Amino acid sequence: MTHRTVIALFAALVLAFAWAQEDGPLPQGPGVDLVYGKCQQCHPINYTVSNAGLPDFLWADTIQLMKQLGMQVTEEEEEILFEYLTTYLGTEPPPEPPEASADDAPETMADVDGAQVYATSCASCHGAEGAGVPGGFPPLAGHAADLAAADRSYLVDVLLYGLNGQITVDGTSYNGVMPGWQQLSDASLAAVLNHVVIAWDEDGALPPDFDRYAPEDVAEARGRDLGPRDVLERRPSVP
Amino acid sequence: MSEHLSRALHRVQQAKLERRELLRMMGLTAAASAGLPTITQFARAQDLQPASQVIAGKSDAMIVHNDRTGVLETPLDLLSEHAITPKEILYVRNNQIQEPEGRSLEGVPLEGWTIELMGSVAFPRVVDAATLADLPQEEVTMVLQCSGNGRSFYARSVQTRGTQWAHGGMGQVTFRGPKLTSLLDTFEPALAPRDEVNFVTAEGRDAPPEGSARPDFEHSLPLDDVMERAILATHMNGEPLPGAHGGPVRLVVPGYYGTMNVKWLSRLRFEGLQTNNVNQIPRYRIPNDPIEPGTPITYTFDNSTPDWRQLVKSVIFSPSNESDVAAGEVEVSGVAWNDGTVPVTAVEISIDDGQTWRRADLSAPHGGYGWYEFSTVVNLGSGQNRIWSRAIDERGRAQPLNGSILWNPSGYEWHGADYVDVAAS
Repeated sequence: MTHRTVIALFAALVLAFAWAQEDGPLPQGPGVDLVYGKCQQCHPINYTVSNAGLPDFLWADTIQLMKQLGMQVTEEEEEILFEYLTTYLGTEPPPEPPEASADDAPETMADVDGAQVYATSCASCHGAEGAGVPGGFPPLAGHAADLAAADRSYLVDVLLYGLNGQITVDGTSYNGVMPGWQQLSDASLAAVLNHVVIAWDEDGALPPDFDRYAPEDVAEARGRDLGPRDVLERRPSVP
Repeated sequence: MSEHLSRALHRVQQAKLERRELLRMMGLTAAASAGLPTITQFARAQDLQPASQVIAGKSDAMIVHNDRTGVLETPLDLLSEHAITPKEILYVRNNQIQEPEGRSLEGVPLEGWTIELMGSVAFPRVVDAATLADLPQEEVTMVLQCSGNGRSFYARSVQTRGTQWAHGGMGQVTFRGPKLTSLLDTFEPALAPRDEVNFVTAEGRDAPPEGSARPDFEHSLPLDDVMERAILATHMNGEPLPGAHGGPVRLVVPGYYGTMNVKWLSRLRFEGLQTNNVNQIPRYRIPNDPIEPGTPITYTFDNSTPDWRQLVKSVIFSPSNESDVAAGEVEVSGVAWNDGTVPVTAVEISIDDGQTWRRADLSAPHGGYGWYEFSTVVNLGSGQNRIWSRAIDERGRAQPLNGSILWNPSGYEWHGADYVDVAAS
């Protein structure tokens, strides 16, 4: 094996890891996950992206308007949103992303906290305790575990590729659009799945030997030609 | 698209392309096809749903801004093909959506639908919508235009907040239904004296999701101005009003911006004061006096006006922006309209950035509130040309060459003189 081949293979390995966390429509930067989490409660993220270039005062004003329209944020979260929006979608070009280096190891389960990922990315719609909003956003508590028990891989696809179309949960009908979350790392997605299905398995739907989600489950499910409607077709039938 | 945005988007795309190119150069395309994501796959999961899946029956040629409540824009080339905009391509802008009616182009039965008349009235009424069919019918062809239509053009000065519409948040349609005055004459709620009742506030049956902190949507209209022209539309373009456009009953005020034409009408409140709902203030209004682009304003009822009457406006349909044309004689055509209170008297065209103007031929309008078609022939030299149009009405109101003179933080009521850039060869 030539020296050059070794380098190429090593580079390929690094790239493979880099691929495991996709660039979303928003530039990467501190607070980006919270922006996805808060904005997409009410509108697709393209609204945020297409408003790039707003002056700082108008981003501040927009955060206030969104609060009037129902966005719930703590003061600390508000500060994070403002910093991100004015830095990355403000009047000045966003800072260049840091160069990827061979030292960048992929996140592991030890690096992430499923409850924290949930609070940042999921709670706006599904509620802090997974109760959902009847008719608006389906509950996860007492429901996600049923889905995981019926088909362990289904929720991985929901997180990666989104979900769109009519579903019924506990007799209540939902017809919303959930976006995909490919911009989150494999470990983050695995951790949040474990949080959702295990912490809130109110009816004991999961078997005792349920195989916890691992980053590899997410990595393997990436890269398929699926859209939110395709995922609906995979939805297991649960109460 | 603002230069900044296109840079940001370009950078993101470029990063993906570079990775892909690297893989290819390293002979790893096989690895990529074996399971590593490609740009197409990535994009698909982030794609908005096509128009027909947001609202059944809508053309998938429509531009989808929001695939949840439904915000759909008509591409200008499609809009220009029809004198009356067909329902399949008519724009939609929903803050909330009435489920399931709003998801379809089908009509909605009037039976079982009710409209409350209340507020400063002696006798609050609940009107059975089925009785609307028995009242004298009024038909009006009019320009229906989102108050945010053209918002993206404000980015020529400073980016504004909201759906980045080009020109396709508008259409020309024919509504039919009884006049508001017929309704009041028939059901006699007995409004308080007119000096006590200045506004009618319209509510739709649509509501924010249960448990959501979002306030319900409503608008107040100045009663003096709308009383004689408002209708309770039950039909559009000769068919029962599609659920997606507010059926079975929509409050229609010809000449007013789309947002004031409240869909799925369920209640009319006759009141002395306008509502302080977020959709009346600070949303859906513009400053009374111009402000410098990019500067803040704190709205009060006194320093600003809701998006009521439409401003005079022209839009060039042909040639389309960024198109190639043969040098020499080129036909320029499009449409112009205003709030319908006086005629549009001229559309002027310039090919020298406003130094000289020539009058285009103007058709008769499609009714007082519809658009006028204009056309003229200009002589273009080889190279890049910018063709301008501006409309002027009988009151002397005209489109400003610099539309940003009306700059406002949420980018409402764009009515700058229109232009298209074409390459002639």
